[in-house]
Formats: sequence, structure tokens, C-alpha cells
Amino acid sequence: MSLDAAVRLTALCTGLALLQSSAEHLWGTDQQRGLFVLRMGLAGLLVVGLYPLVATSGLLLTGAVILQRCDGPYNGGSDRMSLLLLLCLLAVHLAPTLRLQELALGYLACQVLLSYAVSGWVNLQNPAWRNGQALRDVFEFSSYPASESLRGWAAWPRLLWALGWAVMLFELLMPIAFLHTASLCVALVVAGVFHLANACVFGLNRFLWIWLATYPALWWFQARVI
Amino acid sequence: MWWRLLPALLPSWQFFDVIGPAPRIEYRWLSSSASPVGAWRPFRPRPAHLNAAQLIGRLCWNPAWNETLYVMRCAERVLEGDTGFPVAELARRMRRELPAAQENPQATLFEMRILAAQRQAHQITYLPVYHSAALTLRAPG
Repeated sequence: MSLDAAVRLTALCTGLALLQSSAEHLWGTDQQRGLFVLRMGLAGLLVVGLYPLVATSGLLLTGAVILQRCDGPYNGGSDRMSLLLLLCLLAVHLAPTLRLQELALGYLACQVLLSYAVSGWVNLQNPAWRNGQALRDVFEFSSYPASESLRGWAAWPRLLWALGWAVMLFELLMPIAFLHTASLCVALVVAGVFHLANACVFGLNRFLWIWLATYPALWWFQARVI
Repeated sequence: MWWRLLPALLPSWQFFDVIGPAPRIEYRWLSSSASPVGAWRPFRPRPAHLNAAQLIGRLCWNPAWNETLYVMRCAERVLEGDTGFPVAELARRMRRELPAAQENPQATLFEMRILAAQRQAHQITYLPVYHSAALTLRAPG
């Protein structure tokens, strides 16, 4: 995949993800509809590939307004990944040389790898993750299960122990999978299933779409450096 | 305002690293003399069950739950000791959403409390951490 194709595909997927998340605010109880209509317009520009500099800087500006109004991210990690994507796309469009453009998209790809590896490593350090207690607590009393019936999963400690280790190993192996095209392909499919499961069980749908939007950059970067 | 974007350049990427106390937000109606006129009720309770079609549908359309996650993050900040912005934000959203007329026609005020759900030994305990003063249904000013 060429750099141009990777940038275009990343912008397209980011635009679609931001269209989805902005549209949700129009039907919510929030009172900032004008801001999100503007974001939908800017995300639409990103999707069709028109005025990418205006679209990315406008989305960053409105992102900063949301951070200010919510005194931090509205949707935690997915907001952080959205902003990182937009910052890297903006850097690509502003970069005066091909090498700097590659550096900007490569930085995004490195951060995507880190998003898995750091998370896996940090969880591995925690005894509660190693013995399965952490996932049991997530289901039993945390704020995340999307329905009361899902709390029943806490009664399956062996299954949760196995799932916890599967997640940690998958996250830790992501940088190794990056070393070969075939293994990266498999890892990205597994990652997609992982985000899909999180979206269903914990209602983290925005994470699914915004992480999928980073994969073209990762795919391009693997071919570029390996 | 732009400085708020800087952490996005170097995110920490730590998800679910420590499963700490989880907030439960509750409200109770008060009479004009600030006496309780009902029991504590959960604010934005999660659905009892979601079927497969609902789970799939929520992949593309999930505004209410995403708002609940934001509300829960505000309550988590209260548990961490921040009673500034998060408390004002929770009160603002409760004023907008609480169905006063349907639930209790006599209510003119309400109060909220935040409990910390956490594991202690082998059981889950619910410890009251924050209790608001009487709040008006309309925003002051």
C-alpha cells in the first residue's frame, strides 16, 4: 500500500468513525447540537477527501472545545485515539517532505502498537489480572457491563481467567505479529474481534470504529519498515 | 484550550489496569421543606437484558450508553476527591433528565448521592462517598 493510499484510507475510516460518534450526540440529551453538526460536516469532508487540512484542523479545534466543555475526554480512550489520528493526519498534510509525511503516519502506527502492548504489559504486572480476579470484578461491580444480565459472567471464574490471559497474551504479542505480513493480518483480525466483543459486552462501540480506522496506517507501516 | 490536545500526542494506553471502586449514582425526591418523599433510585440504571439484535444495533447507535459512561466517569472523579466540575455536571444532567412529574408530583427538590462499590474480602460493599445538599429542579440563576 502506498503512503497516499494509506493516508486516504485512514482519513476515510476516521471520517466515518467521527460521523458516527457525532451523530450520536444529535439524538442524545446533550445541548451542544450545533457543535456536533459542524463536526459531522467536517467529518464528511474527511470521508470524501475534500479540503483535508480544513477538515482535520476543524475537527481538532472542535475536539479541543469538547475537551474544554467536558473538562477532559467525553469517551476516554476513543477520544484520545481520535485526537491522535487527527493530529497525525494534520502533520501528514503539513509536512513539507515525503520523509516527514512518513514519519507522521509511522508515529501513528507505533502508537497503535503501543496501545496494545502497553495495556497488556501493565495488566500483566497486576496480580489481580494474572489470577483472574480483575475480570471478575469488572463483571461483578464495575460500571462497564452493558446490562445487568452480563454481570452473571462473574460466576464463571475459570472462563474469565482464560479470557484475561488470552487478552494479555494477544496484546503483548501484537508487536511480534507486526514483524510479518501474515501474522499481522491474523493479529488485526483477532484485534477486530476483541474490539467487537468489547463493544457488545461493555458498549464501547466508539473504540471499535476508531481503532479500526488506525489499521491502514499500521498495514502501510509494516510494509514500509519490515 | 489547545493545550488540552497535547496529552493526545503521547497517550498512556492503560485500560482496566486497576479495577478500583465503581460509582453508583442515586437520587431521591425532596419536598419543599427538604424532607425525603421517596426512596433512593438509581440514576441511569442499565438495562436488565440486551438481546442479540440490540447488541448488534448498539455497535452503530449507542448514544444513551455513551452518555452513561461519561456520567460514570464524572462520578469516578468524585470518588477520587474532585467535587468541582464533576458534581456540577452531574447535577446539571440530573436536572435535565429526572422525570419529576411522572415519579413524584409533589417533589420540588432532589438530592443525589454517590456510593463506591468495591470488593472487600469476598463480598461487594457499597460505601457512601458523596451526598449533595438539596438541589432545585431548575438550574440556579
